[in-house]
Amino acid sequence: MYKKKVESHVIKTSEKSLGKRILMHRELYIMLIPLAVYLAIFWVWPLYGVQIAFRDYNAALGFWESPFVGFKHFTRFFNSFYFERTLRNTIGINLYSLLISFPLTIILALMFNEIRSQGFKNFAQIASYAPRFLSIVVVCGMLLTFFSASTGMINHILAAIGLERVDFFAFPKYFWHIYVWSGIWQGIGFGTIMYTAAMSSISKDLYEAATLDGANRLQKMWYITLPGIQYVIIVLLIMDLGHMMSLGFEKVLLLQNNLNLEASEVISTYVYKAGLIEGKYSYTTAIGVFNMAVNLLILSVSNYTSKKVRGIGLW
Amino acid sequence: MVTEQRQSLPFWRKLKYSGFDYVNYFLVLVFLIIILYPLWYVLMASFSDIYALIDTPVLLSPVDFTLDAYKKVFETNEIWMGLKNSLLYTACGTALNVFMTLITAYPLSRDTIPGKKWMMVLITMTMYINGGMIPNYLVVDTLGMRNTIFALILPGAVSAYLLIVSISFIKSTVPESIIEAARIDGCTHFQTFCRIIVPLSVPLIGVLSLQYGLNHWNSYTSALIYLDERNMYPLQLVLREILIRTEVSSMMNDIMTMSYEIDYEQQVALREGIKYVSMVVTSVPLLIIYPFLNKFFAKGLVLGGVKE
Amino acid sequence: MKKVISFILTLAMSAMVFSGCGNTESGGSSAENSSSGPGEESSQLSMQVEPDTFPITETPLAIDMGRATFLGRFENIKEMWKTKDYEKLTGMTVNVKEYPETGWQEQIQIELATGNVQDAYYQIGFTSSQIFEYSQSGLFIPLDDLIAQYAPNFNKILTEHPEIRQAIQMPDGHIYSLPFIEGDVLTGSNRAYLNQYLMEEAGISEVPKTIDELTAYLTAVKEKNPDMYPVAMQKGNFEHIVNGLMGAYGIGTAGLKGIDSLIDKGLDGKVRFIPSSDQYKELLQLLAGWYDAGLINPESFTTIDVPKMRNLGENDELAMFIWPNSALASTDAEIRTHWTAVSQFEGPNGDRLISSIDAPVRQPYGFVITNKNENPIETIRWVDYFYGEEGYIYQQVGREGESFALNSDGKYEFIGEAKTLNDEGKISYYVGNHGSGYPLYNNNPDYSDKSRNIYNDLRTDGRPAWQRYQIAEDDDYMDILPDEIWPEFTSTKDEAEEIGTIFTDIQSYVSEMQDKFITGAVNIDAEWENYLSTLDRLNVADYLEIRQTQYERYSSN
Repeated sequence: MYKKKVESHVIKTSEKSLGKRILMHRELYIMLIPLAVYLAIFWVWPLYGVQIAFRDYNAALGFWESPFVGFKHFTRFFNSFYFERTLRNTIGINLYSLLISFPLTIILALMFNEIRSQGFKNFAQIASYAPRFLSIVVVCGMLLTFFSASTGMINHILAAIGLERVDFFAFPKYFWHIYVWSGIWQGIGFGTIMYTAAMSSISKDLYEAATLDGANRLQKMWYITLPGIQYVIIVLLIMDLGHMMSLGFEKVLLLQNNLNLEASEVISTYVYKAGLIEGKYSYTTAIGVFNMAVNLLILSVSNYTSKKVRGIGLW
Repeated sequence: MVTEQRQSLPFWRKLKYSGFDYVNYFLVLVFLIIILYPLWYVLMASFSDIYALIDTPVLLSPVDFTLDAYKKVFETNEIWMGLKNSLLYTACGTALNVFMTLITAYPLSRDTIPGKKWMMVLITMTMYINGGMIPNYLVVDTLGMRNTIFALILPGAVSAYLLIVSISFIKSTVPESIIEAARIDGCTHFQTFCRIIVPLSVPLIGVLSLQYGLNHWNSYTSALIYLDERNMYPLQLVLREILIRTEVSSMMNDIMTMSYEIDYEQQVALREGIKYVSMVVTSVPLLIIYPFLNKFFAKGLVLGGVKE
Repeated sequence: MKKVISFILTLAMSAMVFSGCGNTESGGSSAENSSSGPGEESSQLSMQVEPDTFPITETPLAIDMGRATFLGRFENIKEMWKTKDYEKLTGMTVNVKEYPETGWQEQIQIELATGNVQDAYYQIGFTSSQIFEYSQSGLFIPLDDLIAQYAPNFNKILTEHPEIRQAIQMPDGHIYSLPFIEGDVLTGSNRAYLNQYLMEEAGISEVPKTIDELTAYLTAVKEKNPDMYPVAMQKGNFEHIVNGLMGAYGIGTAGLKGIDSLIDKGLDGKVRFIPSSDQYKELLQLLAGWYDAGLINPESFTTIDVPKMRNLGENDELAMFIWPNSALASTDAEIRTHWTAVSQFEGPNGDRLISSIDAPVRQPYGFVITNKNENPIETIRWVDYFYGEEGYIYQQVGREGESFALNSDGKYEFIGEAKTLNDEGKISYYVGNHGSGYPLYNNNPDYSDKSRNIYNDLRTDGRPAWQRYQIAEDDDYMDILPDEIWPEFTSTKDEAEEIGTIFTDIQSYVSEMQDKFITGAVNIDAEWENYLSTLDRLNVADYLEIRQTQYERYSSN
């Protein structure tokens, strides 16, 4: 009802020839030159480094002279005893994280948006960004402390209400929860920024009109605010899906141990530890290529689906 | 109009805050406590004796108040130099980032531009794959940028992720009609960009500044690889060095061959303390700057209601 | 006529110049051409220099050296007393490039990739297979001839201690790196530390000598303190306890480096895979039993860190741990002395052997010379000094009369500028090295009493080794050392690759299962067969074959 209608006064350009169209948009192309130069220098030029995924990199021989080995590294990874486990955990954690944090971030952004007192709103927002500034090492240190079976705060509470103490890091089943929820704690505040920015661009008139129509707060959120930021929501969702294979190793490494490894061994930690033994750049790069391929696949599918359903997509 | 209507309502509706508000406030408050307690913990821990800290489950105030960790961190003046450097790198870097991102986002937000699809695909690809550390280094080296600020702000000048977000933002919040009106009135794309897009994207600029800025502020790997001069070190690198100085390298080896058996545990305690102090030192400047940035969002609220 | 003569002269001169070029001093080319077997041709070369003679060069000379950054101090290496002093002594300027603690691998890789290599690398942690790999492509030069001709101190070490050569000789028969050697067998040997106070409290009068007595001790402590866990360890380090007790079960017969590779020497003299042996199972069953009885702190596997360990130790909430020394339990020297060290217990089958002991050649990567070096002779002489007795003292504490002197009590002490500094500062000022991995033969038993006294007085506060590690003076650890203490075996390229592929997963699996068996997360009796068949699937057999080949090559070096 309150969706903005976009009228198109655009002259149909698709009927013109390609050459003419490029000419028409020449100014835009000029504006794209900085990016083009930037990409050419800092992305395309070094791209030759990717080839070591298919070679046995020897520092003394260099990139072009190192022996070519085809898909050897990939096969090695796929045949590894832990391949399924790392894949399962990486995707599992990311999916779990996405399903929970995505909606929660939006809800929090909505809640912030509804705060009437500007002072409190500012304070709440700044405060919520603060955890993002903490380093991973400190966060993990705190997690290990808080959840410690003997001296942790959580267990003290459990004991106080008569429950048994639990060593949360000794069992695979708790790992995902601890990892994801601590990630939410750390990132949710900062994650609302994007939505807050988008919300601030929604025309105030729409809200006033709605009030006149007798809408309550929840209805306004549902019919004005959410649709107003749907574009941003969908784009962010697609991009999050497109990072399904990517999971940083530092935090996992600090929290994992042999007892919860079943749930905590992810691709990045596995590769990191393998790399420690021999320092092989080729292997790491190959796995990076594999991750990229899968990520791109998921991204393309999500993008395609989104365009079909909502008409919104990355390209 | 709205106030007049209010007078005819029953009394509980006349209150400035509705039930909805109270619920909202309450939830946000709970959220804040959960968020803030660990931060408070870090602050208190930075002033505490680490060993005394171990058995303390709930920390409301420093345990065995000590300034040892702070003393170690501020012992040399390197930290002020690091601070100055970081401010410089962050300011320059972020300015460049925002400029590059915006000026690229506008053209790509125009659906009519030929080749848009392929350009978007290319940009998406850059999010995932790159040549690796050594080729990147070689490029920077060949360009003679080592030991200059450029090595820190040019690579990574544009984040594909933030670029895509910016494009989406412009597409969804800047009404197509306004742009068309401007074009019809004879504005060039560049003028449109300056006079319409930029002002309407103030919230976006705020977001970009925060994201890019935070990234610069926390980064140290580029500095590690490209900077040899110690007096160019950013804050994070200085803090890391301080941390490492109190560290015993290979624990096993040092215990074994270091016959001094130097206060190994004292070092460990100091190291833990320094981690907390590092957090405080890193966060304080950010928390000071943020309120100023917040004005961007506030402004956005005003400009958001541009009439058609 | 004149033209003809000048032409001929030019030709003659060119010939001389070019033939001179073929004779480059760089030991690199001449050594590379030597295709003889190990040590053969080199032994035909004779020593060209006397040890410890200075200056090394009359004309000023500079070499570029990459060094690990020296931790725990504020000046950089250039500022240290020893750097400046040694430059004066040798006549050689060393342009030091320091690598930070984090990111040094990346920086080295970049150097290698851009070709901006240093002349030599000092204390840079190349792996054994990396050393070999880079040597095969010519980056690191063979050192055999250089050692034979210009490194009298190190040459002497090689001659008198053939096991050193065994350890560092690469599969192609040459030596490419100079190692860090540790002569004090106690350093790096894990032993059990028992809390004397708790022992008395539990009414145990005699220090446990067998595994059964040990178990009884722990059980008694638990009975007295039901809420306490007698045994604890830092997260991720429980293997110290397992590795330490292996010797009581007849496994880990070839030392710590072998254990790290999951191998030891079997009764048949061949390489044996430890984690599939029955003795290993017995050991784990013991530990599982302990865990079940509440004798092991469950958080040893999850959240205990060093501060926590220290807390437990100081509050006497810890009865036993296994570590090279008792520092884990306390900072306080006083408190530390109420822990008794036991080298090894006697196991249920009568075994008693020190298993967790590190090999003399600790790290092979102390020093390498690259093909960029134009002065390899001077370079090897530069480093050779430290392998002699005089250089050893110089390295560890400086020079008599300048950095230390005999005081009125007949003991050595630091003098001069460093006297006011704390221990850490003294090391920074004079010594310039922490840890290991640099070119040195530490605690060489062949050194004189005087050197030993100097070292003891200054580096160990006069305490003999056994006292520093709180072992009883009459402890018989020397009698229960393994016959062979294996170093890290050298690998050919193919071997390195195979090992890289197979071993990562094997090691992961063994490590994971070890903790799971001990904590009872997986029942050891029920699942042992499955465990063994999984190990089969992980190609343990292939792994063992490679190691056997390496062992045989090592033995014949």
